[in-house]
Amino acid sequence: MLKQRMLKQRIAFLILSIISIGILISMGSIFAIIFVNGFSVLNWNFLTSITSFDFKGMPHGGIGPAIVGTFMVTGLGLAFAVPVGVISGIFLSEYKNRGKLFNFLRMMVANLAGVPSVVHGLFGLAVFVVLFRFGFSILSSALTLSILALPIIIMTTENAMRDVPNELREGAFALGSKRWQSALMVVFPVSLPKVLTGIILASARIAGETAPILFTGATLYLAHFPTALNQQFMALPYTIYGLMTTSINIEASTNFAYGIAFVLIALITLMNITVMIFRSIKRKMEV
Amino acid sequence: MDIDLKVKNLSAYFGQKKILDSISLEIPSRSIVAIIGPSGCGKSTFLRTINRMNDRFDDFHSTGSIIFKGRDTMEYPVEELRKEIGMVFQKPNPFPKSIYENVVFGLKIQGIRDKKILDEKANQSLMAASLYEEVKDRLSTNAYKLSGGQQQRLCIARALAVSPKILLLDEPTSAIDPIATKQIENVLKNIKKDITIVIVTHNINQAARIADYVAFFYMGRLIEFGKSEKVLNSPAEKLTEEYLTGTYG
Repeated sequence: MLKQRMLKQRIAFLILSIISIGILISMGSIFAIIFVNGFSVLNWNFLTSITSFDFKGMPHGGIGPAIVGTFMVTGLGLAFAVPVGVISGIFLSEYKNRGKLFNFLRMMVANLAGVPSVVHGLFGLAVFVVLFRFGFSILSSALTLSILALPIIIMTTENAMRDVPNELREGAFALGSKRWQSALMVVFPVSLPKVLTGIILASARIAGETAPILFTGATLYLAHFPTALNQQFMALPYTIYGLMTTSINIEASTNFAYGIAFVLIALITLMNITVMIFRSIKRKMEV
Repeated sequence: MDIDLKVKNLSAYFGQKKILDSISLEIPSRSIVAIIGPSGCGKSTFLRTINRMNDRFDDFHSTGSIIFKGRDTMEYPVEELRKEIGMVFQKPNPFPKSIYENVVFGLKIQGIRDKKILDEKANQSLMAASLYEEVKDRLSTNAYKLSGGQQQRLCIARALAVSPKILLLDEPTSAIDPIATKQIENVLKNIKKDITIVIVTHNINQAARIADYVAFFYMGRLIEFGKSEKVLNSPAEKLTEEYLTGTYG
């Protein structure tokens, strides 16, 4: 009996190990391939200068405008999405946390999260570019991306707030707190690390999106850095797409594209590390 | 004898379920009233109905009245009522903030920002809760660093800081060791000269040690209420006697 149980245990452990190792290997190989192929083009010039093509269609120079463009639309998109998303999440958790309206709102948020990003692009084109006359611009793209980020931020904020034990709310209410005082002064500070994680996840998501910016402001090639919000812009993911599909010399462009992918992944990893550092500092302050 | 709270025919329901059945009782000023009774007898619900803590639940409603300072508690803005009637919970629930910020929280939400007033109130309340000596040199450390008993005394200090007339305590020592329990009981005996205390306890010995009056609840009804020596030593009701002698409980 004991032997048989030991054997079952061993087999289960073996299967789990194989699966975990498989996941690690596939993740690792993605990073490895991008790193090996992209590393050769990486240098300071690649990060800061403007792209140019020679007569064979070979890209030269760097992706400075695309990096700046990605930062601008991501940053601006978050500037729109974070206040609205966090306030909505707090509202759903602390105010309208049951009943028909709540269920309806929650379902709408979940639906919004499930909408394919190309549909966001079309929406952005119809509303921001055409209706609001923001044109084909950084502003239109940032607004479109903010709508993509919104459900992620709302849901993570709501869940983070809900995870805070009710005893803390009651403690605040028992002292004569109004609902917003308990929400903002007690519950929100506790949920902040999780809220921040949600914001970073959302920003990583929108920094890598192509479809929503495709119809609203991104362009394949610019010979200058963006200087105003009503201009078109280059962005990292769309530049990869452009190099790999429309370049006359795709072979020669591949390494360049890998270089861009490397930069994009490095940026997103950097954001995640920032959050981890922030969370560990916060945890240390609390203990 | 002054009366602080007049409870008249109070019934309370969660959904269809009747939790309290026409409770009538008068709570005298500056005394300790202990509410005892078996689990599920409605003693916590009764306590939480006084400061309207159960209003948070959609399916809760009550009939009858609780008169505080000549007005029905339902007529007060709920925040006003809770400033006057403080509460300490079963499990210590300090905020994850510094000791100081915990104590002055109730004042800050009233908009009091004057550092002098806040400091003075913080010190007074910590002294009243006999916590001052233990924490005076580390007011800025996180309240979670305190022991369970200290945290509970911090919660008492936090409640005292807004100068309530009545303090409700819901089994405040059930999660705490005997020595810390003793300290909290002493705190309560000291502050009753200024404040009326209503304490729910499942510990009859605790009621005997600190209470001036005892109310015995059973199945949502008030069976017996009176001076604590009377109720605990020679109860008038058979149910009370059975509970005290451990026939059930």
